[in-house]
Amino acid sequence: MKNSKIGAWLAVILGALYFLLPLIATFEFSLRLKRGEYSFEAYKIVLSDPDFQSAFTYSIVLAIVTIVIGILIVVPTAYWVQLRLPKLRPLVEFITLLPLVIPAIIIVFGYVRMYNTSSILPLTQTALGTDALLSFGYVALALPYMYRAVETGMRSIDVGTLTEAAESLGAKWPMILWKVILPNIKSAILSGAFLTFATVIGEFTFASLLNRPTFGPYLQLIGAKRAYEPAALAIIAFIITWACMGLLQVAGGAMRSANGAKK
Amino acid sequence: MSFVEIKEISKNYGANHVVRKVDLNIEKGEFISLLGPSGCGKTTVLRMIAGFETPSTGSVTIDNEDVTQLNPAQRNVGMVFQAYALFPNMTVADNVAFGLKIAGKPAAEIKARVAEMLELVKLPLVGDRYPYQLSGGQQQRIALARALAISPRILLLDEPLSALDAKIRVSLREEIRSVQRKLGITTVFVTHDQEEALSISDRVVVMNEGRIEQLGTPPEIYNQPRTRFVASFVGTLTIMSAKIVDPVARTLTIGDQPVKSRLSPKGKSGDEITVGLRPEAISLGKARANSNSLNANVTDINFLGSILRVKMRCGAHDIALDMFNQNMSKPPEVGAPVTINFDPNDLVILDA
Amino acid sequence: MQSATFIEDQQVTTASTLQNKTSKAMNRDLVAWLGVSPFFIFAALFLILPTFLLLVGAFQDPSGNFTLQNIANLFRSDIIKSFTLSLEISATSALGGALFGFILAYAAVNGGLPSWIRPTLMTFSGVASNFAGVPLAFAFIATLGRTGLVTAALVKIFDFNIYNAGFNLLDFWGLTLTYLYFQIPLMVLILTPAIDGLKKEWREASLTLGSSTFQHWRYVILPILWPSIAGSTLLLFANAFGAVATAYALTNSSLNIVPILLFAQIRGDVLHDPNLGYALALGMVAITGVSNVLYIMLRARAERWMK
Repeated sequence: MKNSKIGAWLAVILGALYFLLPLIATFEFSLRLKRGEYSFEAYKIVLSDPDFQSAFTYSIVLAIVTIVIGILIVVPTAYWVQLRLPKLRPLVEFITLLPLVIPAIIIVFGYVRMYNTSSILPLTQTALGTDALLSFGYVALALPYMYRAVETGMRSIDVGTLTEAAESLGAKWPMILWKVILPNIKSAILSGAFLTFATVIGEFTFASLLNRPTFGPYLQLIGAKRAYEPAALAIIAFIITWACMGLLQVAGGAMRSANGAKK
Repeated sequence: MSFVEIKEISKNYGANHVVRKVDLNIEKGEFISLLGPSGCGKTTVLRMIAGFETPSTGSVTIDNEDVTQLNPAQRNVGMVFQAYALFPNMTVADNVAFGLKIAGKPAAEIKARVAEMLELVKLPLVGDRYPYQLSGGQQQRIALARALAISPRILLLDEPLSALDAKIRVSLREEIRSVQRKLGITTVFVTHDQEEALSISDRVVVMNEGRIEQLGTPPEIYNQPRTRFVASFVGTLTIMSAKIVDPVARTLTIGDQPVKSRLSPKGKSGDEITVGLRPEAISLGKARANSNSLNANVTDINFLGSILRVKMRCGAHDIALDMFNQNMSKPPEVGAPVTINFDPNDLVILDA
Repeated sequence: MQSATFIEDQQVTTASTLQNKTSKAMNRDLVAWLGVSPFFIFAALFLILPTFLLLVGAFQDPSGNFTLQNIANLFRSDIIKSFTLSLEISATSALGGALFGFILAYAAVNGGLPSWIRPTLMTFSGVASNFAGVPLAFAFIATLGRTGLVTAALVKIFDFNIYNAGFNLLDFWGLTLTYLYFQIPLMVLILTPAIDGLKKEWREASLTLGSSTFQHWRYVILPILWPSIAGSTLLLFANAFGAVATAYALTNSSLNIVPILLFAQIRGDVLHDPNLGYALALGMVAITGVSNVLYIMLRARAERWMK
């Protein structure tokens, strides 16, 4: 008994060391810009860099657009599959898992080939078209997380009974989706949204190969030519990821307690 | 010297006393039930016999061997769990064979023993199946076979029937009892179901809040519950307060009405005591010689199929009685005044 | 006569309600199908078609005729070398991630540790498994790069320079070590439910049947967990095999793994043969696809017992 406990502690401590050391090292490194003293100079430089500001804003806007499109596509699908088309469930689930099977670089390679300037649908011809393509790509990347979150949320409420109850009160389906279903799966949608945000905000491959100046390629660019700023950026990125996961837990907790209250 | 001797065992988790000084001797071949509500400490006692928990104080002796500090693997006990706990990765035969394989028995002997055990639990044909292919009742029988295969010194059953359907529960408990008799194996059975405990045990231990409330044969427990807790946990009981008139003559009053009891109440004239009556011990009708009778008013009648439960008000007490549902006899009407009769033998005097 | 008319009437009513009902049901189905159609259009346009056309390209020559030449070209020595390196890094990081992830998850679930350890590990794993890509590369450069904190500390304390001992963050072991930063947490996340599925009664049952801890692991825990462990390892493998950003930011394309090669090819046709690029993509999808199919099969096997 005692031995296994020591082993468990050892595993957790070694694990903590492996995971915390790079964070500590990065943080320490990010403070070393000024010779001989610790300072937040690297952060100041990064945060006041107009390129950072524009890349970061750009990524946030992209993430929000992606989340909105994702919700618009996923929520009705999950709703109708649950309610009327259960036989489609295996197919829909299979499709939503595809982005985990097909590497992102393959998907974007496909875009470059299918939507190039000489194709029928030359989305990459204009900046706006490319932005749209990038958003759709991100929706695809985030599909597994978004669908899973929304689907779990819908399963935890009784979609069928809620719909029938609303119908018996005279509501039509757009109203039902908007006023009845959506508020009940709010925390599930939030979970999906935070995961999407975390995925999109620092994404590199898509943005770089579609040549869009988002946060990911900006990070890479700074990494190639600066020493201390990348460390500061890594810490910022880590904090963002952490915030997303923290909010995710809060949303998940809200979902669980809502379900608990119902039972 | 009893086969299993449990001496003053206690178990504390910090300030939480789960078991308090339990003493229990179990004879060889005896079937003992630990009965009580959840949290009464019955499972902890069982787990201390098995070796999953070490007593905070006290000792456990099996067959003259002090096993208190031994781990479960060294105790040679068989255990059956509420959730079956069959190994899902092994066939039924491999499950039953597991203990023998660990003990390093030769393959031929294992095979014969497995067949024997499957025969014993009346499932001789399922050896090649996996647990998930069996019903709950079948899985629990296999779990029993697995526990018995190693010829344990004691068989420990931790609520083995609680996860099953009502019908299977009854048939399996009879089967457990018959297997136990056939093998003559000393058995400790934990349950919260009084009917289960009463129907299959040689003796029943009623536990509450970590203590033994009463220890006795099933008829003793049912007919002569010593405490209010035992009386109310085992069967239905109408509890009333009474006043002693004469402890020697064994006369009491309930409300203002005089009654007699068979046993002498402890106390002196004028003391308040607690008495109980089983619904099935009471009958309706005119006062009879040598029986107690009380006047009451019918307040409600519940139809329970073969039985009618008549609820009445008698002074400050609500009394219930059970009568058979016979077409011929008409039940009393709600509100009607009635006289109820019961034998002085059936008036249970409770200690607390 | 009268009764016959009555029956007829009834039949008519039934038929009309039936018709009414079917048309209503059809109407509902139509709405449902319309409701899911954006999803399928989206999936076709931005997931399935682009990939499919790409893979078709692997079997075409520049003028669009069918050929197997691109596939044959995959066996060029430089490309084989890329695939081998990729497979090695992915496999090593998957096996390492699986091993350490399993140990960590098991310790947190069944190790008898304080109850705050588990949720902390889970939250942290959620963060770390998402903390891949460019920032992760930066973090490791700051830690184990030539001037990294740990590198410097080792020199200072033990007078031991890992770079003199042959370590280089920008080669095989450096990249593998970096990948472990998201592989281990991913393993923890995937495997924890399986470890949760181990019932404590199994341990107790095997104890009363006389088995030692070693025997319990040998005959019960590992046989029950192996499909989950093997399946998760495959998932980790596919995860590493498709990763680009971390490797690109860390090694700046000095390490020629397949995704980096493909990245360069998409950027500027470094292979001087677009169709070979498609074949390269096909090779990648084949490998990640097979891993995932095996993963699904193993998962089905793991779930078979657990009803």
